[in-house]
Amino acid sequence: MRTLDSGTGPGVYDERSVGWFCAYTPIEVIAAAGLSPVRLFGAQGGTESADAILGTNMCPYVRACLEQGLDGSAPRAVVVAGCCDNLRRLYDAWSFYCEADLTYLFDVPRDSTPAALEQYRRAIEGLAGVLEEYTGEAITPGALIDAICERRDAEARLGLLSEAQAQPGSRLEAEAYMSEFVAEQAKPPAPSISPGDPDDETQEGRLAGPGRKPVLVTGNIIRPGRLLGVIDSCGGAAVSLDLCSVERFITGGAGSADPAPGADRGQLFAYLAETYLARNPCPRMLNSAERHERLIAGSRRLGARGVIIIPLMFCDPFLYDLPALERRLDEQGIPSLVLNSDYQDDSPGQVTTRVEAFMEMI
Amino acid sequence: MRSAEALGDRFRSTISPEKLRSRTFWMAVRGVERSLLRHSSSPAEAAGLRYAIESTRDAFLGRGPVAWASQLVPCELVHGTGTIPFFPEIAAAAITMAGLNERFLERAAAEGFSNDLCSFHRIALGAALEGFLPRPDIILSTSRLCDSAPLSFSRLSDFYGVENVSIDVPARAPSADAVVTLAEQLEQAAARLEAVSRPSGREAAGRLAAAIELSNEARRYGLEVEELRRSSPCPMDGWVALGYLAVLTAMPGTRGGADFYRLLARQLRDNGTSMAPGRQRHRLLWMHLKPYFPTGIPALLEEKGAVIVCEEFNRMFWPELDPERPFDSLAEKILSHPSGGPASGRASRMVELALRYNVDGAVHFSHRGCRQSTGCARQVRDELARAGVRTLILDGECLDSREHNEGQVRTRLEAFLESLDTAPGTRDASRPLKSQRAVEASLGASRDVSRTYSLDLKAPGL
Repeated sequence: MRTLDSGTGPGVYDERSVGWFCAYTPIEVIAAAGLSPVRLFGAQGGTESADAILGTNMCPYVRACLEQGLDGSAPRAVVVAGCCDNLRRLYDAWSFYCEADLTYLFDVPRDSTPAALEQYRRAIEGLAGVLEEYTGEAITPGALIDAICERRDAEARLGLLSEAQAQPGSRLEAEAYMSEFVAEQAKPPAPSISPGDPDDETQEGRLAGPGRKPVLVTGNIIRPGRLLGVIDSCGGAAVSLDLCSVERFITGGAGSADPAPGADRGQLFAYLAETYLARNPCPRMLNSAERHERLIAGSRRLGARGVIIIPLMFCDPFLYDLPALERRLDEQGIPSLVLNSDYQDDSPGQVTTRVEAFMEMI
Repeated sequence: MRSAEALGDRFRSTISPEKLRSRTFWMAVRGVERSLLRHSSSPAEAAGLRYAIESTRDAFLGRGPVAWASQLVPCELVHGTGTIPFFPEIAAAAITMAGLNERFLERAAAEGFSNDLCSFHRIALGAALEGFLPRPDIILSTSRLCDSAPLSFSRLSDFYGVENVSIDVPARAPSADAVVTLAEQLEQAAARLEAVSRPSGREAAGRLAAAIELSNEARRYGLEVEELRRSSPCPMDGWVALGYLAVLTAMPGTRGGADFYRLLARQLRDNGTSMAPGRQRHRLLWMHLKPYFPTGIPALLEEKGAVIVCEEFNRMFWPELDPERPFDSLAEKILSHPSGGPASGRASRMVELALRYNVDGAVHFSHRGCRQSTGCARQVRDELARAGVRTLILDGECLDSREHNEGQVRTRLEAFLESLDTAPGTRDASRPLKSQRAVEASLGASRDVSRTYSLDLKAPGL
């Protein structure tokens, strides 16, 4: 049994826990193998050991995760989506420097063409094979369907939460809203989640009060308990959190149908490939124009007065996309603010000033 | 010297997008080229320069459909489909050598591209925005070596409104599945290139096979060059050889490429150490790239009697290509790159190189904006240390001269080279080179190396 400090409070990993990092990880396959998928949010505080291995010009989230691997507070098994150079180097460093029973890298294509879907299906099949070898047990179609259904149930709960977030009366503070998603990913089994109900006493102090200015937030991954609190305290109300640890965690948002009854393993892997590649894309995917239009449409639909963009430092996919996204928002008359995040976000002073100024402007 | 500087200043102040698209400009370039070639002591460099100028001219003057390609797109594919290749990353290095880098870096920054991004791609983006690159008809990139190519090329395809063919290279170690996945994508890419170049049936048939035959010819001579460089003293300085990376990237598959390596091999065979410093106290392996702006590094290496005898990138890293199965072969070429795939494979290849070239030390030049390479420099260093090779991780910049700290680089490199003087394992110049069997035995003794090496495709040269 190993201790966890993932930003959601101390917890425990057991020998069946499998750590994952990127939202393109088909966690249903991990669950179908009888294992517990747990998203890692990285060590709190300094990342000196990881910095010495990876260098400081690497993604700060990846460095925080490697620090967690190095200090022994991560699960004994991790699977890494080879989505970007930073994650691929995390895989390398984890394999070489961390004590682990399993460290596995799998490919994720950058678009959703038929060839890309087949490539991803094969990658998922490869992951399943490795997990079967790890556990010594076969992944059956029945177990896959159970895992898919369980995931869809969880997503349905989170989807209700997203819908409630769009409504002023039931909208949670951004930090509280994110924490519901983080809890689902970081510490299974998922806690019971209910949409923000203004009459629900348990939500007291978590609801965004009246008079806040609605904003849409987009970015990669934000450490719980830091940057979003600044938006809350500056009078912002997050109508949507387009982050890979929040709403982009929901795959069913793209409208996938249920898997066909009686589907075999190959068909279920294909189903998962399609589901994951059809979701709201991350900037690493090639369809950036589609991503921009979704953000604009979401912003309009939810009545956001502006968009706050929070890229992690050294995240190449986001940084190459940023000028086009800012220009597109500007063309549409949507004000935007860029807050660069070092993931630890320990010094909110300057950020607060900028968010306050933005709130005044919108 | 002063007149050359004045000429350079004049070039920088008068060069314009319009000029680059005028026949008069290219006639003038041809005149300069002839003058340069008259004074060149290297027939190989002359052949390379001639090809580079002609190809770039054809691209700017629109003498055929232009295909932009990233570094690891197999150039045989572009040559074999009748399009004019243009490599923006190489162009970025050439722009830096011409002293125009800061102008385009500033343009990219003004557009909103972060200074944390790779300077090769920032310069390419800045130059494209300023109209200083030839207009592409199609853009191709691979996800190896790094994320930057598919991401920045995607922005460039939006900018020019042309098709973007992004080839996803499997991230895991080479395997039969990876070859199949990649070969399928390369075949589709060839079809897209031919949709742009529209060759007649007779033209198309056999052109790719012919490019592959020429590539194999270049490779054979290239391997001879590598073999000659194993000798002590080494006949060619790697700092110069790093400038030949453009040839390795762009020219295999052309007559010019085959001629370049044939002439280079002959030069090294016939002229001994004419392309290397006289005093060779330390033999070095150089990893990743180098600064392409003026720096005191080569002078310091010479002063300390250090010579780069092999470079990670500048090698015939792929197995012989099979014209009968071109796409599988080109897939294998991409997957064979020493720096691609998991770091364990990269590290084992560097250990192999270090032992094969009998080096005293290794330098990993850590380009500031490169996550792909710098993120595993420490692991490579640790693997080399296990094999008894001292390694310096030298933080620096390849193209953004504003971020280069000459004093710091010099101090670190100087200290490293001095440490080699006192290293217990300092190479004895009279010591014979290791045999193939001895190299393999050393590799087998190094932890993890044999395991990862068994996953490799047929590595050339051993």
